[in-house]
Amino acid sequence: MSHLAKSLLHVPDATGGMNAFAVPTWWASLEDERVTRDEDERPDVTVVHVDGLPHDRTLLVVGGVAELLTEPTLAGLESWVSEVRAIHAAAAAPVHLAVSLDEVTSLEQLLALAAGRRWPRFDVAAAAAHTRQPGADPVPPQSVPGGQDAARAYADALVAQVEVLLPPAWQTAADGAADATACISRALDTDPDVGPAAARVLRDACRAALAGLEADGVTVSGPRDALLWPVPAERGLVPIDVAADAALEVMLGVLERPVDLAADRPVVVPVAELPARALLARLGGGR
Amino acid sequence: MIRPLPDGTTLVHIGPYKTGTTAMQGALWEARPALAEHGVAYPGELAHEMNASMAVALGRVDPGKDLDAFRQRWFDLVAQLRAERPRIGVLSSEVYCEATAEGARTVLDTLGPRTHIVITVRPIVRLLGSQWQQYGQNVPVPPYDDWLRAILDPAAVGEPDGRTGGEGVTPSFWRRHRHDLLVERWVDLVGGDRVTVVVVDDRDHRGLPAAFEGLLGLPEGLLRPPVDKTNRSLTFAEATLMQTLVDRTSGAPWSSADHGRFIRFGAARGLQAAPPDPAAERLLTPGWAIDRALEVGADMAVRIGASGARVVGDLGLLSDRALAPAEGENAPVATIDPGAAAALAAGIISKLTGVHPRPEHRDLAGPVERAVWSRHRAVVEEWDAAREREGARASAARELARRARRRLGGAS
Repeated sequence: MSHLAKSLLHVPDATGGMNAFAVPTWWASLEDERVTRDEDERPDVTVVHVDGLPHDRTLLVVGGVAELLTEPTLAGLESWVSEVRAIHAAAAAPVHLAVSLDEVTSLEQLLALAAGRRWPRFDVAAAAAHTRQPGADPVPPQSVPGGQDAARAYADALVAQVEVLLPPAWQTAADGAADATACISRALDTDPDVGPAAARVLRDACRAALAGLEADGVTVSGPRDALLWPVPAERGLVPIDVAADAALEVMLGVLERPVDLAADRPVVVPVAELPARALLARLGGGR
Repeated sequence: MIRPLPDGTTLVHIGPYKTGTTAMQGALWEARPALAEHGVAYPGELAHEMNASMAVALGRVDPGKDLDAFRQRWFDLVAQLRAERPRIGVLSSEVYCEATAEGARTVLDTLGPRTHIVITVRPIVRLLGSQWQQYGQNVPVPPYDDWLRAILDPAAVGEPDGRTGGEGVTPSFWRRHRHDLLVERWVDLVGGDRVTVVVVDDRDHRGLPAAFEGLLGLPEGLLRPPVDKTNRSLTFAEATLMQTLVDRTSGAPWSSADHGRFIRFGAARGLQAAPPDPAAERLLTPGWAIDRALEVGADMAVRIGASGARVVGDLGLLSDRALAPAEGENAPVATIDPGAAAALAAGIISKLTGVHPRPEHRDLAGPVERAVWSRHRAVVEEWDAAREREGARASAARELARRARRRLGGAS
């Protein structure tokens, strides 16, 4: 292989609702020399040679929890967790669990998920084109799939309260509002498969299971709240753990959608923007 | 009638926390032009120069801030006072109440012998709920009842001889709120004639500003604390929500810098800025805790009265049952109004949008701040590039127009 691969991404074949995209026809359609397979050594794993990862990883791309559990019970959860643990223990590299609610359709998308990033990436050009004026454009109303009343009330209150303090931050505000609303919408179930009490028990168990996997060395990225079983709103109120999940999802969404600014990009620092200490340092002076 | 402080005095209001400091700092800040007309200076660029005060008094600053820069800022404030030579200068920060020995000495040595210390005190019984909520916005804390039992345990309160309690839960509570020890400490440092204790009566909203007006020799009514909707008490459900979030963000992978910026000063402020759900239960304090706090307040009043400091107001308020908060015990709460839930996230989002797109991120920024900075910076750089492209297009258009004019001129 001609390029210098720094790390290996191990992608197990589709199993138990995970890596649903990872089938031979999909890999073949990529026609990318970075994608390899050793049918003798690991017939169920595709290996991708990548530059951007800090170390080798085994990638499991997962969707919502309902797609993973064979049944909405603690036993169903335990079964899925055991499967992840088994892969983690047997894999050539630690498992990274990337939550993606969109279908994986490209190698670029797959590599972004493997790096712990969200897809699609932050669109700088679109964000820049949107507005330059502070407060000129409010954060748009958020859609609430399923039409839950509590989620609708949450989304409306959120949009009404968000402030855009600096002009280039409009997209950050819009993303934050969308991420939080999506989290609430996922969490509040209008068509439950289980009763309210059982749903709450299952959600708590899912949270504990995720914490357990992380304690075992599994890393997680993406909207991980999707791995928590949904619960019903209670008399129009939002469960407190769900509200905290939505607030955290705002920060996770930003953390996992940064922009990789070129390290060698020309940076012109207007003197007026330089703190005095930094200016002195640049001029070689001491204090 | 309160005797004004002599000309040339520097009044240092040292809090402690939750005794009306934010209200007084706001009142002083908003009245600065009027204060100047009366020879009073309140220097600084903020109503509360918290980090500058922390840097000198405590030798630390909030996560993500530059200690040396804020220490210098405090000395700059003092230099500003010296340059202005006001009739009376004022510094106010509740962080001085926790000053280290070195910090207190630095403050007093720098400001000189005409420094007068003002300590505002409120009944302990009225501080319990608000301090528990405040701690809960910063660090994981036990449920209110458990916290009260830990705080009001005799060993935690401290010995009658003045020794403070152990290093249990939220150990700073009694460092801040053994108000008697605080008064005695500063009397020891500067003498009783240079310490004034103002007893705050929450039922009299003019009491605290009037006391400061008296000390500063100002006309009655000049100091008006601003209406601060961002510093309200949380409902019990809001406090529970805040603590759930803090429990999840106070450790790895979240950094203390990000926690401070986006949770403490983002999520919590978002909750406080939203109107409370009128149907939500407020925080209730159990009867046993009220009784115990009133006992502690009575003991403190005796010691403050004997300290030699000047006292403005009624020390009897420190053990007055009429000032006790709502009594009872909250049932556990698991749900919250969607508006309050949204306010939590809105506070974080709004704080994220305030990350400045400066050419380089702050050295001490946490991972979340760095990520959001990269987004904002990329947008600004994209704007700059677009401007350059537009400029190039405009230049080209001008050149074409110039050539066209020449050609047309030549043809005519």
